[in-house]
Amino acid sequence: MQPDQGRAALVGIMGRLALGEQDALRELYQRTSAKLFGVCLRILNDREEAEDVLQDVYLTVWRRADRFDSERASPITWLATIARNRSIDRLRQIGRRGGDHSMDAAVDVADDGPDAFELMADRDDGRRLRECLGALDAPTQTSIASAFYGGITYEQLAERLRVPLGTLKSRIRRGLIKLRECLSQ
Amino acid sequence: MSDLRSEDGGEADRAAEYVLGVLDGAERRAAERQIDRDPAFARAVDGWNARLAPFYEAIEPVEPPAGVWPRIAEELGRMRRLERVDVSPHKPKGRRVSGIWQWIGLSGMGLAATSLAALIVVVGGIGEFGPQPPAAVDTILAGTLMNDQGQAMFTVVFYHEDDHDVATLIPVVNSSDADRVPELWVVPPGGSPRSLGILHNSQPVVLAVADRQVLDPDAALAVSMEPAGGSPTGLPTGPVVAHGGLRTP
Repeated sequence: MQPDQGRAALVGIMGRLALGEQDALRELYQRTSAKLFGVCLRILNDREEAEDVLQDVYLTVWRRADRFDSERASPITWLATIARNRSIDRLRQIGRRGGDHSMDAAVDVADDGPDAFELMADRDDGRRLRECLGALDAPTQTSIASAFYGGITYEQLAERLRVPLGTLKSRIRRGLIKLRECLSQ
Repeated sequence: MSDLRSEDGGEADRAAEYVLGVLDGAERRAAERQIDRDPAFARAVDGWNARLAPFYEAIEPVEPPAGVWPRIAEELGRMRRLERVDVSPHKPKGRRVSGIWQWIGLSGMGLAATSLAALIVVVGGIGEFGPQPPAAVDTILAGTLMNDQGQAMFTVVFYHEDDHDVATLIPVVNSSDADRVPELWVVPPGGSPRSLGILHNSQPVVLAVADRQVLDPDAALAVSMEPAGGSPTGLPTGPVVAHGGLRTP
């Protein structure tokens, strides 16, 4: 399937969802649940938690479908963002209960970050993000990718990467500024 | 602005940090509240979501277990039953409004549980939180704005609440015109069009309406496509894409 065709089909499904069509949610689930489950698993690193959050994600999508605006976001990005945000919220709840599910996921990315960047190179926006990340120094690249895929707080990330909290914050903040400048060129 | 440095050596871009996911629980909730009330911050978050979106491409899909969808379907059924219960006994205005949707024939088109729910929140919310108006619904008018081919483009519900009039416009067809925005006009019989406000191509909009001319049964409503920010002249400058009138249901 061409990405554009996939996108157009998803925009159509989102429109039907906003009109309250229950069948559209099933179609959306069939097309997107594997991707979104992958996102939940990546953040939560726990199948049961990820299943639970995935269920919550589609009910959230049902309630908020009228807020989806095809001019402001691609449908899959909008959906993946909800899945990741819900997963991060769950991670914060688990954190308060004393769990530590996210750490392994962050380590994975810290180890294979540059390989992961290869996978995003086949489209224009992916190529540009990869180039702009590549222009940052290696510790900053690793910190930003680990933060995105780990979904953990500055404090947890600093502990994980064994760098002082202040160093990590300034590294990420400067990295984000450079990234924005590079991507706007 | 990159000269501004916090004690950690970098300017904190809250929207970027929220999207990256490094904020703790309380900071995340604060950022989410800011998204709801600060459009510039919400746009900044949208921007970062788009910038970092390619990261998702590197995440491998994983088929979820077969049991997940049935649980979603069951929960959805429960939510929809609750929505219906919620509308009936305590929210007479909500019921009235849902009657309007049936009247303009949209329930048959499968209109918006979600949009309708949003509308009921708007209508019902005022009664719940404001000074209880005993019979606040003086006036309810509704209509469908159609294009020249007779296709419904927007549905309108107009109602009076306490001391102000409100119109809710829901786009039926998502039209995407990146350069222009739909603007709503009231056209009095024999008079010049007067702007009622800017609409949205793909999302419901609630407008406060100060112009009582819309209550004239002979007045027409029209939607024209205008430059961002609305017509520069105060009169329609672009093509009229939808028109129609309001009626009492």
